[in-house]
Amino acid sequence: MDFAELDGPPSKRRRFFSGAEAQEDGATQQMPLAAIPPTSSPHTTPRCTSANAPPQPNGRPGAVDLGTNPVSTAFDQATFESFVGEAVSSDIISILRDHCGNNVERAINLYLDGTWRTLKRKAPPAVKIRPNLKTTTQGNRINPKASSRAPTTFHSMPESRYIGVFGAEGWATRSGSDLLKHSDIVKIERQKIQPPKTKVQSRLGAAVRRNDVIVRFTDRTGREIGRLAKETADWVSTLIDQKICKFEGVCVYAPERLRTNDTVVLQLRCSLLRSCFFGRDFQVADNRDAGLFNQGESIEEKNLRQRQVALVKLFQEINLVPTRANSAAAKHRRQELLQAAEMDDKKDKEKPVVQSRAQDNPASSPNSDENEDGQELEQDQLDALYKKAQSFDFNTPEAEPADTFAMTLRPYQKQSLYWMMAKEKDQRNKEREESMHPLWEEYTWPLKDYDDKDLPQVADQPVFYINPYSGDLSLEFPRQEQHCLGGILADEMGLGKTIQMLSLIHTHRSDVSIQARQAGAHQVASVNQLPRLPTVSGTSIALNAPCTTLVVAPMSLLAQWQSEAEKASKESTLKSMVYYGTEKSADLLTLCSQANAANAPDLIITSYGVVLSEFNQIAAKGGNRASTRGLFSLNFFRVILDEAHNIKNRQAKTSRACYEIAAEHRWALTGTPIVNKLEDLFSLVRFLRVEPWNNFSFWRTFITLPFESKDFVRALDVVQTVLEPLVMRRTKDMKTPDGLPLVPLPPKHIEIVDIELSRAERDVYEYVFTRAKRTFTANVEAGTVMKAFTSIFAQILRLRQSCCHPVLVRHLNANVDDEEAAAAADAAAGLADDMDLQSLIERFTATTDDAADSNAFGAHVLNQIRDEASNECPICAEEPIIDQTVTGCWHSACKKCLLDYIQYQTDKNELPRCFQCREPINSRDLFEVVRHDNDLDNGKSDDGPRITLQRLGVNNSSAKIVTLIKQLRELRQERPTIKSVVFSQFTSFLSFIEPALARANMHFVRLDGSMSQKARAAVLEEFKESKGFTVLLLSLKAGGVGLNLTMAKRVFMMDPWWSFAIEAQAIDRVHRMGQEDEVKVYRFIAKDSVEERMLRIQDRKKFIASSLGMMSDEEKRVQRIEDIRELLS
Amino acid sequence: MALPKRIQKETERLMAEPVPGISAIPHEDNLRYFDVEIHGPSSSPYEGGVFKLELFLPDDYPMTPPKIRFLTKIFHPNVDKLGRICLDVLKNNWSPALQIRTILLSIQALLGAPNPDDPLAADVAKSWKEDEKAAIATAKQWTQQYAVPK
Repeated sequence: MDFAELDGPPSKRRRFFSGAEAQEDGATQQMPLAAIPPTSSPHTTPRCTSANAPPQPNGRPGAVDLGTNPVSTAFDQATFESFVGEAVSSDIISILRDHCGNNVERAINLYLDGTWRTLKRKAPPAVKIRPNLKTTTQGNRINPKASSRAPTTFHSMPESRYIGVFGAEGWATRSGSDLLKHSDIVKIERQKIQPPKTKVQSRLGAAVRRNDVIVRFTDRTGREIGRLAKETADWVSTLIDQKICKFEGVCVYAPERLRTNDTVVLQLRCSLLRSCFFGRDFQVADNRDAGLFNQGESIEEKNLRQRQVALVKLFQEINLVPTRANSAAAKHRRQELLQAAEMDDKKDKEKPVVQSRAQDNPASSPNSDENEDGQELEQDQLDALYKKAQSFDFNTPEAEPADTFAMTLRPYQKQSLYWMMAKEKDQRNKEREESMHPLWEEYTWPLKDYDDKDLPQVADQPVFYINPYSGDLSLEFPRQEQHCLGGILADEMGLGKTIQMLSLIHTHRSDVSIQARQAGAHQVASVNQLPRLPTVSGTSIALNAPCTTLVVAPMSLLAQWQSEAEKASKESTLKSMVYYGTEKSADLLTLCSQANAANAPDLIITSYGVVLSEFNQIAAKGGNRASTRGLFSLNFFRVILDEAHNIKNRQAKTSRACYEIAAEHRWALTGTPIVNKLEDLFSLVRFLRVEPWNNFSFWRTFITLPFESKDFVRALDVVQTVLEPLVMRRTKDMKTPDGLPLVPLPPKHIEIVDIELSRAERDVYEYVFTRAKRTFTANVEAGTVMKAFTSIFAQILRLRQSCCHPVLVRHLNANVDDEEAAAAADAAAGLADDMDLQSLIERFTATTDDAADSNAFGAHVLNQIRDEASNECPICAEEPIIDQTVTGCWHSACKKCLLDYIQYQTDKNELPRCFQCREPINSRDLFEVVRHDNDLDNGKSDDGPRITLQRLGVNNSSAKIVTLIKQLRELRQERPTIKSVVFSQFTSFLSFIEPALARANMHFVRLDGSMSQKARAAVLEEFKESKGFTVLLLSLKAGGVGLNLTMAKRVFMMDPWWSFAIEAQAIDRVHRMGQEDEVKVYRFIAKDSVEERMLRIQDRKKFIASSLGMMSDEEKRVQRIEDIRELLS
Repeated sequence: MALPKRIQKETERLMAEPVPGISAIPHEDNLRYFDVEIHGPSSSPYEGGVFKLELFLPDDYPMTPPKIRFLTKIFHPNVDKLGRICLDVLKNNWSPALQIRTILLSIQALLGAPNPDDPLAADVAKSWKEDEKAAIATAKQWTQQYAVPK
């Protein structure tokens, strides 16, 4: 290449502003523009005098300086003088004005480093055309209409285009005089050579070992003079290797007598090569699609990262800042990008062996969730993300389903149908302003070169775009759009995802399908009418299946899908088939082919397992899709992944298999698009083939790494940007603009169950009540109510507990869900010392050895008793006997009848006798019959259900527990698999309920405030997954908020709280969106007790401000005293 | 007060499966009040007679036994002249497991086997003990006179 000759003394340069180094030193000829990239000719800009100036975007002369911030301050004498701190003669000013390109920064630099002295008033430039045959032929013909992607319009952009200049250091590899002098042009070359045998070998050697980055510069004869310093060479080498840029050097300073390893200061002028804007798509596409059966980090991906880093560094060096970028400051971003890349590098070093193995051997990748990478999301982060993702616009238009669809859609389902149709038909929302892709930045092509000369421009191309995250460059506006003709339907469970998809299947059919329907059995469509996906695998092409939607679902849901599909379709409007097991023998290739359009199934339902096994078969056959004539041989009209979180692990084979399913429209259904990692989402995006996010290194750089380096907000922001156009998500808690729930809730019935305390319980209650009242009255009289508040309150607490279970009163360290718990325990100590009370309570704790008893009965007795149960009660004639109870002489009656009869006789001062045999009855020898007919462990007995006898009185300790068990028993009889929640504010009471449930052989789980988050989650999971009759014991405080217990249908509130609002909140855990059945709530209230009075207080107030935290502690106490006064009245 | 299930069931059964020789029909205006007829057992002095009784179920039935008495005059050592019956199951030996049907059967049996050792009508018991034949004749005559439908 030719360069303008420049001679003259090098000027000492100091950098006051980074942009200043664009200043040219070649002053001797008074023609600083002489040295310019020899890449194109200046036809479009007559002012440009140099033959070799690159084209320039537009003609705003002097507006933008090379390599500087385009918005930097314009030159102005006053500013200038105030900056340099002295008056400057007008001559100098005018020289500076001529040379600074209207940039005050540059002017200051020119002035201070003395360069201006070598400059004179700008003379009319001497035209010195040096035609460059290589490039001028193309560089000037501009075709603004042509798309830059089309190969025929390459010439709209010259071979290369100048973007900036920067200073760099090099070191000499050669000694001698006059080898290089100021303003000598050097070639910057990337050429592998033998490592130099110099004393710096060790430094270089290290670099060589890692990667060869040597960049040398040569003089015109091609003689190597030296090399670029490593920090520059690192990235310059990448840019050259990957044909992104070319560089030219100008010597700024070199010692007159050059010795090896002397520092040489160079100015590097950089031009972007045209090629970097093109060809990249293919490269990336190759990269992405390369592996049907080979994934993992590849060399390409590494190159990509290097390219990205190099570009970012380059832009940093030439100080080119984006004219348009999204959100965060570009500089800030760049640093992060570099950090991200470095993190990756580190990781590479840490485990290169493992990685390479994974690359070489795809078969070693796990099938399931093992070896997942990525950091787990905290719950609140997940919440935040979902919150953002589910800002559903209720103004979305609705679409009516096709008339072949047999079900009625709710409005929100019609809206999603509209959305899905729009996604599939790619109807872009016209109203939305075209926004730039968030990852891209816009840059203005420099208008002037390093010598402040105008650069030739290219019409309609004032700017270019770079994606610093991927290293992609573009001349076209990178619109934010997703090419994916599908999306993620992420409605919460219960909102009808299946139905919505079926409505879509009915409503949006392919043209071929429609024609086939119209024409009956005749074949109509021709292949050419069909849109085709690009080849997905290099090895073979999938045949179009234009009528068929493929559903991939977990095996257990296959039948459900088919029945739903039938239900949702008018007769013979939808042909569905399950492709699984024996039916798998079907030749899908023929069946679904276009030729068979009229008879092709509309819906094929298959399992993840089938997908995986066919995938493996094809993999074994080297990727020949057609070889199995199965799922992978076809390009479906639509594929739907149900429960798509099944593929959340991108490395799992199932996931990879799903990625490879070919289809025009791709949908993923899941209630949890992110289970616990952002990577979960990647896999869906990958399946959907959303450019560019389906590139993992892209995803990593932009989402995972920021997230892992704790920049959550940004990572989540980006995820949102990804999700927004892609995801439709509604939750059950959403309300329509009219405030109505999306899905109306089933009814809820609250019933108060009056509990009759037993005599013994009442004794305890009365005792505690009298004490409490006495204390209260005494304190009222003494005026010390507030002082004694804690003690009084504790006694009230005890009173309330005695309504639940007398023994609670004595519990010293009762675990109470109450703020005054500690105080209560203290006061309770006083109660516990009380001998009278003690004796009253004793009755409830007398131990019985009934476990032994029940095994001692002969089997025939038990059988007889069991059979008697179906008879009517001899006393009340109920049939069957209610709570069958037997006497010591084995005669059965209802428990109540028997007890009443005994009571009746006792009242008449008679010895109780058996109603059948008139044997005297020992009231300790009464046994309740416990039937195990509905228990989980049942199934081994073949001669009727197993029964055991339970000595009466053992769980009779508390009327509430007895009633609870009784109600649960009845419930179990009626609904053997129903789930119930039992709330109490006293966890110690829950502890008493537990054994009663265990005795009744009821499966139960428990959740209270003492449990860790993990344990709670486990409990809830167990409750959710349990298939049989299950009871959840829940403390009111721990379970009052947040939980979703819609799997339960019954609620038992064992004790009232001061404010019903709290109870209502607890009830709403069950009665909330997602609840499909009627909910029955039973509030257990001890009759004639403080509990009844608490109800009255609840009614009076409806809510107590204290429960909302609006009152001070003192106010709360005053409030409570009032309540207590009423309670004890 | 609603009629307890037990009474309903007993009534239904008495109607559906009547005991031979015994009928019990509740009053329409008081379902606890029954008109009862018992045929005198064969080969007893009461053979051929149809004895009317009234039966009332008290509120605490079946804790307490039903109240029952003969309306038809009868010469029987365990029935007084007001028609009250001396029968253990109607007194101490009552059990809620017993029913109207069983009680009426017991009364029918009592007709077949008078028990002068546990008398209610002392004079009748006395004559029964002193001259059983004469007593039986009297019983037969009373039956003819008061109990045989004309």
